[in-house]
Amino acid sequence: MRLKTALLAIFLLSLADLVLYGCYCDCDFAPTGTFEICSIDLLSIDNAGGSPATASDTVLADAYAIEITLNITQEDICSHSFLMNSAFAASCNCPDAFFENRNPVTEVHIYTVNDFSTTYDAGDEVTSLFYRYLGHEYEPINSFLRPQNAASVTPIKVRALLMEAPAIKGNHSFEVELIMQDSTVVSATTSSIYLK
Amino acid sequence: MKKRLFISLLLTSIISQAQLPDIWGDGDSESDTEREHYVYFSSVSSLDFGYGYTQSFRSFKKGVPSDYLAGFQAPYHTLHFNFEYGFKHGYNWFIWAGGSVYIQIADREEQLRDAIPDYYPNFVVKQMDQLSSEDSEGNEINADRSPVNWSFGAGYQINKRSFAINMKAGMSITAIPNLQTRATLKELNTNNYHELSYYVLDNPISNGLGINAALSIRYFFNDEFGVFIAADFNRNWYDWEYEEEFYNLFTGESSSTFYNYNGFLDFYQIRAGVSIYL
Repeated sequence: MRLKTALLAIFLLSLADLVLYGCYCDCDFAPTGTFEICSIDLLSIDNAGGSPATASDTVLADAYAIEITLNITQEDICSHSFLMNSAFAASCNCPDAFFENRNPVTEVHIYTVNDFSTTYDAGDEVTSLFYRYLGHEYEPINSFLRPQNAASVTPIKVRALLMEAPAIKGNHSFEVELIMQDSTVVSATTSSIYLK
Repeated sequence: MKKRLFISLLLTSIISQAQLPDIWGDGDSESDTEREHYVYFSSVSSLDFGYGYTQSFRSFKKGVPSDYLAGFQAPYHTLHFNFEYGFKHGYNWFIWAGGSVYIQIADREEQLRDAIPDYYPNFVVKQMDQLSSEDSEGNEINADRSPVNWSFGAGYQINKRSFAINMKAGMSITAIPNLQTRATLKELNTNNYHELSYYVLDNPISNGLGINAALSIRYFFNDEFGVFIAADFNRNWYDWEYEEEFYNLFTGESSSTFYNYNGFLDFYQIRAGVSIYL
């Protein structure tokens, strides 16, 4: 009898807890704010070793990569604070706060500045030669340079691995260009690196 | 209540039929003739429970794949049980059956991680996954268990007052679970990443058949309880067939190599525990 009463009490308390949370849970599914890509920074990477390192002036052509940093800025932050958002998220399993790209990237281009091979001359697009490695698979790089949302307004870093070595050895540099929805163009060029 | 009564009756029955020989007696009593009678014609059993500490060695060459297949370099902790049935001369001769469960398993992933550079010097291990759920054909396997050793045979015991020296030998089987292991490797001087997988093809569990020998020293507190320390030797032979798969994550090219790997594993165990005489 006592056991039954105790179980009933636990059940009712759980139900009340569920109902009360349901009433007071006020998840905000709208983005916390918006962001926009202002500029990009490029860094040549030497990936010849076990871990990537900043390139000096010469890199093995098969182990060249570019670290692309998207510098983003925020604007139009919601009236409620981050603290309130995170508190709600913890108690109600609401989605984490996120920022929405108000000026999405529509096109991504990577151009070779120098003659690359018989197929790619100086000025040609070589975006399809760059990939990102994600644990157990490679993905084309352009999908990672079009962020729709961001968890926070901090620079987004993407490492683009050059998966086809240039047939023409020598100094090489690459220009990364992002075209936004409003036709704004953001671009940068890597320093010249000797790819051997 | 009925259960208690049944257990009491069962224990009473066992104890009344055990007819323990006075193996630690001084041989000076008036009932020597009577004792000799049942020493020769009665039986006695013992049950040991103990803890063991095992160090294993192998005939396999160190490296891939023996580090993966055997994975036995680190000492193991074991739980041990042993049943002996003395059938002649008041326990001088006995038959026995025992088993050990390995309660600490060596970290095979780490051993494989250490061994891979010896075989693949142009690669760096980036990640290790132990995938015990599927074999190379995608069939579900259940190898998530501890190695177990079973052994049985015959032995001889020399009794001296409260002490006894117990020697035994026999056959043994040591069952080792096989796990699928995948290593993600980065090729040096390139942007290429690969997966190196090992699958044992025969069964989720490999049973190594072999021999066993042990030497124990026993001390009897009374007719019912005692303690022991023991040294065990086990040698088990294994015949492994496995597949080594090398997969280029960028191009999707893969190559498989099949190997047969034969050899033995030696297990040296020190045990201690309590004995119950039935």
